[in-house]
Order: sequence, then structure tokens, then C-alpha cells
Amino acid sequence: MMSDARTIPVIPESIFDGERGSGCLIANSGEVVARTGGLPDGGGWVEAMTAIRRDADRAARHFGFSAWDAVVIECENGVIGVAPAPVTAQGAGALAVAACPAGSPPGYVRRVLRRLVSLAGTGLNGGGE
Amino acid sequence: MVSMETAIPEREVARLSARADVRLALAAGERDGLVVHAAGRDAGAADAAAALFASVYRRARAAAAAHDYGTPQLLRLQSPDGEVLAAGSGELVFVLVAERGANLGRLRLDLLAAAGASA
Repeated sequence: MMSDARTIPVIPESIFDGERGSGCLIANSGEVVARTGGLPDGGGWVEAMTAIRRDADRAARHFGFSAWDAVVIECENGVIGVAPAPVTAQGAGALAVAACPAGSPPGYVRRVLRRLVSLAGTGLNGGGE
Repeated sequence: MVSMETAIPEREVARLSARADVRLALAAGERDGLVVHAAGRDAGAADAAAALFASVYRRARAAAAAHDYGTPQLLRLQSPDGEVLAAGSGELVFVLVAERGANLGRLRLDLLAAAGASA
């Protein structure tokens, strides 16, 4: 579990292939453990994301899905993607979240999420590119 | 007597559920998650599906607002075994559970059309 005194690792912006975006990894505790781009301060969005994960887990079980890959939220002004991420010994990444520009193709959002999930699995060394 | 307020969502749910690649279609109150109309071969699962996806839709609204992204228009739960799509329409949320291999592009358009017709 990361302490407040430690710098939150920065996720490389290269995950967005040169496009605008923001992203983060959220631990099971609800703590943001890695980030990139301009994420909102407050607004309860982290809590909303962890609640979406719980609901998605339940929905997958209810419908007999073996697993779920992502929840994609298409909004007027942007697209938000959420994906389950592996929990590491460092406590990183139970959830990957990506916020992408409006109209981003589904494949692009999934690609960004896959990269975030991969980072959660391999660990983050801190610092950015 | 069926009012216009309920006739349109009922009609749209029936239309969505008529597709062979749709397991369940429903309309539910976004705030309370209670089923307004449901149809399809998995209609027995409607109550839980409505409660879950009304909840997800409310969370999606909070996340969208925090990011200043406006209103959520479509929500998709993606799985190797199928997909669940949801779209808001006023006080309602339409939910559609699709089979694996469903024509998701077409279902997306149909769901958005249903939500638009009921708005």
C-alpha cells in the first residue's frame, strides 16, 4: 500500500498514441496509485468508478459471463473506459480508468485500457516520459 | 388504459427484444432501478438487471459530470460471452443484453433510437 508521502507514479502519455487523454490505476482501497493527464479533483468520480466495478462484477455473474473486459461510457464530450486490473503485491491497479476525447473509436479506448492493465500487472517504476 | 407515456417504452422494449441476438431488453427507472417493461427469453432476470444497470448508469453520470463530459449517452459492459448496453431516456434507462457474436453496431443504433423515441 502506497503512503501519501510517496509520489504517485506517472503513467507514460505514450499510451494515448499522441491523442489527448487522462488515465489512472485505482487500487482495491480506492486509492489512485498511478495517473497521467488532467484528472478531476473530487466530484466523487473515483468512488463512482469503484462502484461501477462492483456492479459490473455482479452483472457478469448474473448473466453467466465468465468475466468482463471493460465498461465504456460514451458521453457528449468524451469517452470513459473502465477495466479490471490485476492486483499486485504493491497494491496497484484493481481498476484501470481512461478518459478519451469524444468520438474516440471503441478499439482505441480498449487499446488504452489494455495498456493501463498491462502496466498494472508489470508494476510502475515512477516518473514519466 | 395504456397512456402514451408507457406505450412508447413498451413498444421500444418489444422491438429490441424481437431480435434473435438479444437475450433481454428492458426499460427501468433510472433513480429506483424498477422495471417498467421487460421482454426476451431472459425476462426472468429483468429485476436484477434493471437494478444493476440503473446503478451503473447513475455512477456513469457522476463520473461524466466530474470529467465535464456532459450526459452519458450509451454505456457498454463488454465481455467475451456477450455484451450489455444501456442508454438513458429522461427518467428511464433502456438496457439490452446481447448474445455473444451479436451485431453490436446494429444493436447500438437500435438502442439509441429507442432511447430517443422515448425521450
